[in-house]
Amino acid sequence: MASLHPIGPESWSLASARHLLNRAGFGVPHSLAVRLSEMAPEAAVDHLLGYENVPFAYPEPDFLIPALTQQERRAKRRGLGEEERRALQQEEQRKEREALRRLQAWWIQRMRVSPRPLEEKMALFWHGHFATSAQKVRASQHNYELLEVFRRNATGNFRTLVTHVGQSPCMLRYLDNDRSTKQKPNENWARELMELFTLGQGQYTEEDIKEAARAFTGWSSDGRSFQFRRQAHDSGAKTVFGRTGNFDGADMIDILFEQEALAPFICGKLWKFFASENPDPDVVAALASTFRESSFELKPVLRQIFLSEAFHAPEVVGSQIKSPAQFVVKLTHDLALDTVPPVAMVQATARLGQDLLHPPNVKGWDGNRAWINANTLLIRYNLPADLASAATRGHNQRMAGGGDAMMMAPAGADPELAPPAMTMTPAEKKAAEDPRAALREQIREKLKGLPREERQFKLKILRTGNPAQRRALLKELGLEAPAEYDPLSDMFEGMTFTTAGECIAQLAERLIGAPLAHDQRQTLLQALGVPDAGMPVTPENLPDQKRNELLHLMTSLAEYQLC
Amino acid sequence: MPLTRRDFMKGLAVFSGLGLAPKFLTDVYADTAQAIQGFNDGRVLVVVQLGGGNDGLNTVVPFENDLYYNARPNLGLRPGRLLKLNDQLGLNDALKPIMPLYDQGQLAVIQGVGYPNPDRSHFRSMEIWHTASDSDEYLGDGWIGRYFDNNCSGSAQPQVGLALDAERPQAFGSALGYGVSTTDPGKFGWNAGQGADSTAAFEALNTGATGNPTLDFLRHTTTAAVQSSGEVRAAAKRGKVQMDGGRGRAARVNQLDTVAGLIRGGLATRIYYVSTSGFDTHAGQGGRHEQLLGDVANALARFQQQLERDGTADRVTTMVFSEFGRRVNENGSGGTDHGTAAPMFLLGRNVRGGLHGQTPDLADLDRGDLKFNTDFRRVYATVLESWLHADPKAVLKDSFEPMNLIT
Repeated sequence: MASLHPIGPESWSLASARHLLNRAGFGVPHSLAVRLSEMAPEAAVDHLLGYENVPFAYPEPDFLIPALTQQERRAKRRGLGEEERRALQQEEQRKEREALRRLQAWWIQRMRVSPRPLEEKMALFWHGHFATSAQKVRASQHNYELLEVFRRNATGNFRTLVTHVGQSPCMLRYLDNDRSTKQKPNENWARELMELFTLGQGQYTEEDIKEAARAFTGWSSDGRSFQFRRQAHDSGAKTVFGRTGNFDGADMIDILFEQEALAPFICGKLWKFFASENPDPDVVAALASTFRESSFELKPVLRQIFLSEAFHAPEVVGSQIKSPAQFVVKLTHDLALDTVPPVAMVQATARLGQDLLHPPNVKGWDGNRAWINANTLLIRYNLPADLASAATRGHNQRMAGGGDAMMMAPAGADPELAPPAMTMTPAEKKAAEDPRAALREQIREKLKGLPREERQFKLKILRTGNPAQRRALLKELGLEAPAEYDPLSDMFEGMTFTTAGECIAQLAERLIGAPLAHDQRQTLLQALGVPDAGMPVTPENLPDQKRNELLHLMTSLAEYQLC
Repeated sequence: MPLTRRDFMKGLAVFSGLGLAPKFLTDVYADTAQAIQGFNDGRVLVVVQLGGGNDGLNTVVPFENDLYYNARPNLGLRPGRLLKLNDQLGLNDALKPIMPLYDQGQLAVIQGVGYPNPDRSHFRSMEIWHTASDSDEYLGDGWIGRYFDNNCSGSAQPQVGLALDAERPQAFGSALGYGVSTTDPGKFGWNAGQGADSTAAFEALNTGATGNPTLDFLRHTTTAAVQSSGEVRAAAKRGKVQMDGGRGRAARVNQLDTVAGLIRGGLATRIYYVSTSGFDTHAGQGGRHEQLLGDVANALARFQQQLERDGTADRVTTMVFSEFGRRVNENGSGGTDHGTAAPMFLLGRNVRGGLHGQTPDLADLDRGDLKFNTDFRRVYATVLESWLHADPKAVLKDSFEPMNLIT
């Protein structure tokens, strides 16, 4: 039987540290895995869990549209004609969409650079658990505030978390409790609270939902923050889970935490998210008792999970399909694509099925195999090239000192990513934005005097010839091909290998975390065009193009989808 | 000088006329007229989504009803600007391109389609149409996805459903993961990148059983993706055809050109899904709505003509829907707000043309909105049962009375 017994130091390795970092974070950076592997298992887990001790100054978003109270909204519209109101509304919606886009970018960049990975991983978990969608709740401020609730209570007390979620304007709006009144109680929040957030299907009756909905009447929002509306609250007696009283929302939450089903439901969900799809019922029961004994503190449960032999069992390690967020964040790290604009990362996660702030419905993302179909899998395989070209664009923009700083990276979050304070002439700026434009200009000059046919022949080679032909022709014209920014070259920095075999082995260690099968190594050697693994690697026989092809093949492995 | 497609087809026609077509050519085109691989017939359903909420009242117009003109003093369409269907109703003049289909009995107009307790959120209402749920029910899979799961498991081809879109429509949500989405079928696949073609290496790296179930699942899906992408690309290439008249204004739904090409190319696809948006006409609807409808009508007419030319028209039925109609009263900005019931269209040779369902009663409104009289799931049930020969109850999870829409 899978055991919650803590893993011993003798079984602790770089591979176990990497597994821990994959699950309790986004698997990055690799250097953190190395550091964790040098600690005792308890210390490594405590380092991740005790993230409050790791300083991290990430800038607060300064782009949110402040939420208005209903009174303020009305005041803003007073005296406007219908058309002006409509125009105002459209403008407000446009601004909110833009702010939401920035909030997505802000978050994914935070996942990328935070030295406190568990904090972001848990925020992502709660975002999927207490799913609300910006499709319905468009206010960027409310979306941000709920994310902050998740982050502040990420590994804290679950009861506190439930209360703060239930009182967040985002959830109040999403599940319509802000409109729930004594006369017309709305059951949406009460139902999902039981079914999806705390107890699980079948652990309550329709009558329990009706009565709970009555208890939550009056939990509302003034448009900006939580407001208890006494007149809307039904203060009469309710009978729920066999208990009768004049319960209000807080009482209702207390009653839910008395239910047997709550602890195993949440612990099972945590196990599925962090460890594996089909938890052993004994493991869940043991975690549930830890959860109850600690009055629903999350840290003891997470500590037990992350340290357990069951979590480190061979069938659990490398058995999970990376979520799109994890896939994209890790890919940019693995390939050292530091200049990918966060917006491109957000778009990539959306194409892979995880549009941040827009879960498909209140049930959140199903995860694991549900991420994969023919379409998303091919997108995953094609993404390294797409992100590399996004990184080139990001690089060029940064060199030009241009681009939206937020869309690039929040200044200050990662000094390496802040745009350099450079003074460039407009021409230099243009050349940096598009290095080829300057070259095209030079080529036009050089070809000016040539006969028409020869000029066209040469232009054709420059347009459609292979790189060697192009370089030769440029040389003939006395021009030098511009040193093109190659985003992938950064990942080879610090790597030392002398043979093709070592090159492949090191990349496998870095990207997959395990050696490749023999036939896979052979296939890759063949793709490199070298006869055997002992073949020395030089810039001549491993030109950039071959090297990029190798990286593309290795990130196009089914193995690379796993963590 | 290379032959153009037209020259090639001309040549083929000459060959066929003389019974001399080279065998490799006749094989390709013979296949397309017969069954789709994995099915015992070659029937195809094309779903066209009009995103944003199409104004049904200005699509099928009750021109004899004063209530209509009272509610829409500016947007109301006068009889002179309508294609009359009978002495009460006329189609928006912009739909002229599909009027010949109506006259030939190949266009069914189903009036007053909707569902109980309509949701006026685009997102939620679209979700209801995609999942075929009740308005207070949340389903994780889609109606087409459930059809795939129930009826297409023998095919083992993910491309039994193909959406011409970057993202998979919610309607394709399926336990078994059928249905592919791509904006460009000609390029759908693993991008080998520049230089040497490493596709063979890519395939070799991802084959063989490993004993790790998740890894095997991924490798299996990779194989299926590579296989289906190969077939999708090949069909796109085979079916590539120069449409008459260029894309022009019909660009709005020009994915239909691509769909015609893939059908012609003999792709083993049962359901194609295309969508267009812009129907959310809150302001300045006049003229704009005509342009939207006109673009769609052009694309549909051209699609149908292409199917006729390709000899595939007998195999294809097209269904057009939108998530809701608009409010009966026009608003102060020359537009209409989110409403409820609206017409659906079915097109094709096997469709029972004409008007179906009841004209919504403008004297009996629900808070200013039309009351639906035909549940959209009845139309789904009809298409499933009468066109695709599937069990609608298994797909829709409930019984909906089919309609008499397919001959």
